[in-house]
Amino acid sequence: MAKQSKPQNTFCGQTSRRELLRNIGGGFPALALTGMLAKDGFFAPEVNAASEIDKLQGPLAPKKSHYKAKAKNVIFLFMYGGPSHMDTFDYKPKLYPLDGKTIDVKTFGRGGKKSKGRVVGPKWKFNQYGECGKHVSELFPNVATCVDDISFIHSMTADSPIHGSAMLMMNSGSIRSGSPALGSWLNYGLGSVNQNLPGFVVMLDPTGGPISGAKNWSSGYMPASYQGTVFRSKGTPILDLKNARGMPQTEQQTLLSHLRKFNEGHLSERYDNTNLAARIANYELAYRMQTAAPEAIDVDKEPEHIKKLYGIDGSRTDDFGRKCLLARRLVQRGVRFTQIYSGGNHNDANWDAHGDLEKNHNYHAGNTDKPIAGLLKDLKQQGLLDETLVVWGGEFGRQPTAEYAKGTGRDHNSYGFTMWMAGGGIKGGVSVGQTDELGSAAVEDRFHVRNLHATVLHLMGLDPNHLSYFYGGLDRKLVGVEGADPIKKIIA
Amino acid sequence: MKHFLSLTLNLAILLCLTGQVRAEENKPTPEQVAFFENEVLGILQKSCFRCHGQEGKIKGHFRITSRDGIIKGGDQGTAFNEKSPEKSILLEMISYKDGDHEMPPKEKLPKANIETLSKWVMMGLPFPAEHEIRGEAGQQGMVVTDADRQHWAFRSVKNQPTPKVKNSSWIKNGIDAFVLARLEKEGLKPNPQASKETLIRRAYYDLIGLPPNPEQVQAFLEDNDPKAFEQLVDELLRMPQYGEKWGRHWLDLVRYAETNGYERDSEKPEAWRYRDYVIRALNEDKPYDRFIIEQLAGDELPDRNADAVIATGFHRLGTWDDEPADRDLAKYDYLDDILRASTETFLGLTVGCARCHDHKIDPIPTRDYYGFLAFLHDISPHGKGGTNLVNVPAAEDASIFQKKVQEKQKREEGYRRIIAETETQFQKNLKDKHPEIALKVVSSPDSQQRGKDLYLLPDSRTGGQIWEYVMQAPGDNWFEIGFDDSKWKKGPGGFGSKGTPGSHVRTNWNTKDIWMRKDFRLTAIPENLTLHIHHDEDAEIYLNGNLIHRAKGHSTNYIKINAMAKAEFSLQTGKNTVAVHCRQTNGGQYIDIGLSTDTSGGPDLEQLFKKYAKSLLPANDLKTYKRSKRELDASLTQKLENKSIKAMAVAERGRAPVHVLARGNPRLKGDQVKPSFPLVLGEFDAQVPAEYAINNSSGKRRYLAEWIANPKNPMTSRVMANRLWQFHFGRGIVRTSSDFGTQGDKPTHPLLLDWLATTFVEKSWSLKSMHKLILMSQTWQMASTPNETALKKDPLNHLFWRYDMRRLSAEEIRDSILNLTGELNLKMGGPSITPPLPKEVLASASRPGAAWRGLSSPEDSVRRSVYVKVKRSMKMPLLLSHDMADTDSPCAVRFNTTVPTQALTMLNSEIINKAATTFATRLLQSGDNNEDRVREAFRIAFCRDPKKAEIEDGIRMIQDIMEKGGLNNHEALERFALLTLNLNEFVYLD
Repeated sequence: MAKQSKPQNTFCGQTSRRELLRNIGGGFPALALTGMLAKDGFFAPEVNAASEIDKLQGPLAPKKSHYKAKAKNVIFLFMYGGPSHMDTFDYKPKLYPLDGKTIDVKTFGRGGKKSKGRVVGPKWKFNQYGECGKHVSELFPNVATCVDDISFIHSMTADSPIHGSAMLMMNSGSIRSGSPALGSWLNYGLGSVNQNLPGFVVMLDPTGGPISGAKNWSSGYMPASYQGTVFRSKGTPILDLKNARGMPQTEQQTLLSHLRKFNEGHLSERYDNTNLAARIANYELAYRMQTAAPEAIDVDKEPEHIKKLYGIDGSRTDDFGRKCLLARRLVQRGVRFTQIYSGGNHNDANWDAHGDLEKNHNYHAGNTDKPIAGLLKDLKQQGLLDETLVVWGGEFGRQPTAEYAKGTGRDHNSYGFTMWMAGGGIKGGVSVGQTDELGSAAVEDRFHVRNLHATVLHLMGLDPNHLSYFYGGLDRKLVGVEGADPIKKIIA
Repeated sequence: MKHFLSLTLNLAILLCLTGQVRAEENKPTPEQVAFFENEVLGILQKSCFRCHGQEGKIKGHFRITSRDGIIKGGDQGTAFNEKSPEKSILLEMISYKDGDHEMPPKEKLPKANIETLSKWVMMGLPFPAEHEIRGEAGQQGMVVTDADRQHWAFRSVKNQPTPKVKNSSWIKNGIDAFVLARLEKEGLKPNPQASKETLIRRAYYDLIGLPPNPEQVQAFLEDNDPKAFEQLVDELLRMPQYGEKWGRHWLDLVRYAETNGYERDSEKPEAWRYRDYVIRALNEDKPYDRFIIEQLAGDELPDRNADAVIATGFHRLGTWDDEPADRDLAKYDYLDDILRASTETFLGLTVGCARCHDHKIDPIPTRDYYGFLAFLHDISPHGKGGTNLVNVPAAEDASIFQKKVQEKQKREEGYRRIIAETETQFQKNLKDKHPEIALKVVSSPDSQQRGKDLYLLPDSRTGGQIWEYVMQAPGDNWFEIGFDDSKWKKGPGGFGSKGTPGSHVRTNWNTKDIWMRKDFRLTAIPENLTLHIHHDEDAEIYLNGNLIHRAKGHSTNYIKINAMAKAEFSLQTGKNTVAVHCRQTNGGQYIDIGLSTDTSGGPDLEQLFKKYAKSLLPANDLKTYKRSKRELDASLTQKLENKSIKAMAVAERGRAPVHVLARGNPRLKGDQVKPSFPLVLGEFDAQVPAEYAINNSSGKRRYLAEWIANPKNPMTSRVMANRLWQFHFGRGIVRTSSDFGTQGDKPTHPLLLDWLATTFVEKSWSLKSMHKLILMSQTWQMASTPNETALKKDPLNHLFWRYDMRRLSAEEIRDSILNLTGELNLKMGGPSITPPLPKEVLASASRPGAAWRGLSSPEDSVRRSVYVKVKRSMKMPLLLSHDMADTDSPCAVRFNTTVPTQALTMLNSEIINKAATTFATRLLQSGDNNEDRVREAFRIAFCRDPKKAEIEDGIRMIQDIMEKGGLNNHEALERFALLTLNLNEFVYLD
């Protein structure tokens, strides 16, 4: 057996990741440590003594990208529930005068497939912004000032107009449950450059998670090491980061040093077992995390003008603003993928405007417009936008017609919707693709969610059609068996 | 497939008649060549070639780079209609006429291009040969050859003689001979035997997933009987905890979970019975062949009993989307899940990969996939609530039970009659004496506002609404939001026969059953919800797919029911769907419902009755009325038990033909297939005997199960023998234990594997015999210590020169913690437990309050982990971070990760810190000095006595933390207890 010559529990010398994963049998051994924050002196020197953990390899050890990456980090602003494209960024002048008229149009949403509907004219005015003259509705007056840094994709399509499966599709590329999320793929493909923080962070709305909860950031058939970690922007950021009995630091250090001593005694007779060594090292890492994570979320340390930029002022923008600023701080600390949910729970607690469209979208756009613009501007002024890919959008868009005889509510629409990206190798001031005059379906340059995922992977230096994980007899890919190409027109 | 015209027969005649296209005259004219080169080719190259023929890609099996390719066509049949070229599929697709097939998919071609291509098609597709890109075109099926069948796993199992070895004194049984023979060949020595302390801890965890207590260790150490270890193994195999430990392994393989996943992650009621079945089957040492047959087809067995039916819950454990975007596809996704679980678990074959195309590596053509699927194809669809529950055969005599039911019904009818008569009389009197009140009760029939009730869904009294309805049983999911009721009849409610008391019949209904659906919309969620219902007889009301009311018997007028508690989590803004099913046995019949909100005002009958009954009715009548009401209530709450239980189980419905689906697309039906086994395992003719048909079932699954469980099947015994080895040694002889195909790992000890498989069958598929065989081997009893020479030569221990250390599984860790504190509750079986979860975890659900309902009592919360509820969208952090199985797919090998979040959980979580406190109290009671307490901690946690230095270290730790933390001895002991829980030795086995 050729494999016998390899040293135990290191993956050096493996020729491919597939081989690596097939050899697990006994599993992933350890972790890697190249914590860039460690270099910055964030940690207590008592515990940060040079240790063997630096030599170990593991699931989150940094890995080489397939080719030179344009982006290093991703911030995915997930507008859960499905924002209406024709009321936000997809200007449909011909839709206004049709308001109230019943027309022939094919739609497919929660209410099933229909071929007729009463038009709900867009409820907000559009104005032109930036050098590119992009039309943006009054819902996003602040984001509108950033259009020259943004590429809009107006011709997005997805496989499902139903929340459950559509959320899974946008997050994991498949409408079936059980596949790893985009953030998991990135951490699997690239590893994490900061072991003191999770590589895949999720921040939820105060009203609760999105439907299907943790399935949206699950690592599916990959090890749990690649799953998203829920991060809170206030209090204790990560579950179990703080000791339940409130043990003071000195006490914890004493405990840890004795723990280490006992464990080293145990290890001495089992010196060849790197899992044991890795577990010892993990207590040090956990200890560092206890410092690193609270430090990362300490948004209040930021200067006033920065907080103001994000709308952190006790008003309705405060919550999302904190999360956006926290996302920037995580980017600075090497967190590979951060996802922030706007909206949670059910019904009008998110963008799912079945009832009163105006009330719903005024609320959610009002909460997020300033923070998002603040994030883009701040990333830019700090020189981080070039390396940080920002993605905005929901699991689908909405229909041009009303769902029922009365009211302004729109049903779901996966035939055509808008998403946008900025930074990280994306062109500014560009719009690609089109929906028809009503906004009911993408007709020009249609892109699938897989193309969006392919674009993200590509910009992060991974070949979407080659990044694969062997599972259940198949080389699985985020972009599916058939593969998908990145959206070239928006790549700088 | 309306476009798919059969051309072959008429082609020749047509060609002659039309004269437009002649097969022998395909050579294009110079004008056509010019037209093609100048106008057509560019379009094809730009928009079509990439996916259909160039660069080896042939999507949809369609090649457009040659004329033959176009005529041959792809999954949709020929792209060119020679009879009426204007009807060619090619043109239909590029003009986006069919929503499912729009080409090119990215965007519609410009109008001019479409016109050019149309012109070209009308010309008869002139395609100059020099521009053609030829190559393999179309659907060339995979051929399974004898060479394919030579793969080691597909060959029959051979009874292997045990090899000769030099050091025969090392051999305890056949296993050792195979292992040692290899070691000797490679010049390696096996490790010495592990210490007795190590062996007893290893054996306990290995067989029951729990450690021995200090007394058990002591007794074993002192027992010098050479048979002491064998007796220990026998004893462990008799313990019921064995089934819990090994049952968990099996539950991983069958993707066991108790919810459906997706948006609502709804319950799989009674799923826990399957878990208990597995535990019971293992404890009874049910032969593995029977175990397979029961799970796949227990319902079809002539000698089926309750357990055999419960076992078929196997089919129902997977994920299921209750609101899929594509219902046809969802049906096949559901079946695919069952197919994958069956083939991977029982056969170690990844047949699932061949769903959309021939298997890329293994010799499994798509046809095999659908042949296998045909065994499962008639399984009834999944549904919410009780849809998939079946009554498991009752113990009590059915006729006695039936009699009891009839008596009860008769009694209740009597009470109802008295109540109805009294109420009618009361209303009549009320109308006579107080006409003003009576008017209020009837109210204006046209308005949606009745008193202070706002009718969200008016009932027939206020004008009647148009409902969708059917009187023939609809599909299982008829009450779901997304159910397609477009083909149902439409008519105004209420439904019933004229003259039924209190009815407002608008549509006649006089059959046994009626199913009705109605959408209504909400712009906001109401604060309260009243269901107005008049039913005759039993009715079930669903709101957005959830049962919100079950009405028993019949009413004589509209009654009000507070529906908010049940409906709260189902209501949504926008579309809501109400679905009603009503059943009728005899007499008048009627069903109508309405929904209203804000019932603060408006007197209802009950209130009026309270106020005026005394003055309007004779005292005796009132007395009888009240007694009847009481008796009726009592009778309705009293449930008749026929001692039958409900189980989530498989059922079949109908017999539908099965087709190969091109690219897995349910709309691209290819050849029809019959049930068949994978060709690579031999060309067997799957002839299901007629006598296998039973009740509604065809017996197909039984036939399949018996084929799998046949000792001659080369996969089954090998796959299971290998799994047993894997769970005892940490890795299988074949490491990819659910993939024995050509891309899986090869066995490190092929002869041993065959010997084990043969032995397994010889021992009548007894798992317990195999456990004992393995544990009694010298191979299993080796120490895990490192050995420099062996490490150099075989660092990954491919040759089994030692026993590999292993970390405890997630469940073992939690169970060990509970065992160590002394709290572990060994109660077995029954509905799953929901121990408290951190609020942070609950907050990640979309309905934080509803995600983990009904917390278990403190006693139940400390039961073994195998009983913790398996909810797909919510997991216990302690278990999740220690690599519990993901349940969306079968899990053959668990990950074994070492990550810092585990340390955070083990050090900081509430559950661990509470355990440390309890453990410290236990230690405190064990002695009056720290030396005794440290010793006791080692005995309990590590099943051994500490060395002197370790005791000193422990005492020093306690003192150190007292000094530095300013704690008293008890508090410091709690920290020591926490440290013990975190030691590597606690979670690792030698």
